[in-house]
Amino acid sequence: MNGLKKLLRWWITLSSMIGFLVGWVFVAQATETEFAGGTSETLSTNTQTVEGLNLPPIPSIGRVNEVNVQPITIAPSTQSGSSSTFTPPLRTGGS
Amino acid sequence: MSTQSQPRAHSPIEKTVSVTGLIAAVIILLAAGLYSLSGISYTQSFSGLFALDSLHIWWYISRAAGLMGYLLFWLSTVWGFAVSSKILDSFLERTFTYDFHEHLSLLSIGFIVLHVVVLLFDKYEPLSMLEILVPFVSAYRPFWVGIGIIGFYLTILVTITFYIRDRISMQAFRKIHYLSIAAFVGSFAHSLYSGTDSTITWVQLMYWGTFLSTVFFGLQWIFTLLLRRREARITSTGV
Repeated sequence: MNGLKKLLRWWITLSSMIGFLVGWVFVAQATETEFAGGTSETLSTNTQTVEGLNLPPIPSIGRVNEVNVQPITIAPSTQSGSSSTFTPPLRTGGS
Repeated sequence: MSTQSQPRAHSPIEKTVSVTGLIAAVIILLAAGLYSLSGISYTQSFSGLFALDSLHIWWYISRAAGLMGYLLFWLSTVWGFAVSSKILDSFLERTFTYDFHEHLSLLSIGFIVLHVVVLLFDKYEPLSMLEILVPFVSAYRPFWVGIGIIGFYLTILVTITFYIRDRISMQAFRKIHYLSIAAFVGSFAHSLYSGTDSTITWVQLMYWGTFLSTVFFGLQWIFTLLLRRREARITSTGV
């Protein structure tokens, strides 16, 4: 009986050791894959997807004339003051 | 005068040292094996498998030790319920099952100690000695880490009673042992809500599976207890 007790103790100790090593491999592999994919908690906090911004596809060079593209005209600057007083008419609307 | 000497009973310190020593021996053997393999191509794959070169190496060891500690604690709790309900008495000797229960608790504590100590060396999410020992002061999920620390202290308290059983009354032993239920619930909540592996499906399944099985065995133990009391009352009153 005493021998069986010892055997059982050794068995459960050894099994838990193997379980620990297997767990180590599982945890390492799962997390390393996450880090490689950039989906970990740490990385994901810095990565945000901007939704609701739909841009029309860029026409190929050959089809530029077919698409109603407004030519960009740059009006000559009439201001002669310093650029520090210039306020751009663009707004981001927050983050 | 008897010539046969009684087998010497091992003290709690001796047992703790042997269990911790066994854990250390296996880890040292593993490290030695890896060292002896250095230069061979297997080392590279071994290193990759255990992520030995990773910055998060201590974090992985801590998490694996935490998972193993939790599993052993669960097994010890369920085994304790089974021993108390006398489910195993028909095919296993009581001293045998009791010894196994005690050994599981010690192993669990060994792995939880490893889980905690390793966090001191971690570079990814380092914790100070204060954060490890005092509940609710940790910078990382303070509430759930605190619950885990309290659960661990309760486990130690319950395990100590194995060795002072002769010095305290059976009633006190049982009452202190009831704390292990709170300790298990605490460690379950700690694992689920502060463990970074909780998002992994198989880990979640493991947590809920162990929790529900403990609830099942716990209820079974309560019913057995109530039935036994009722039988005792009937016997004493003769009704």
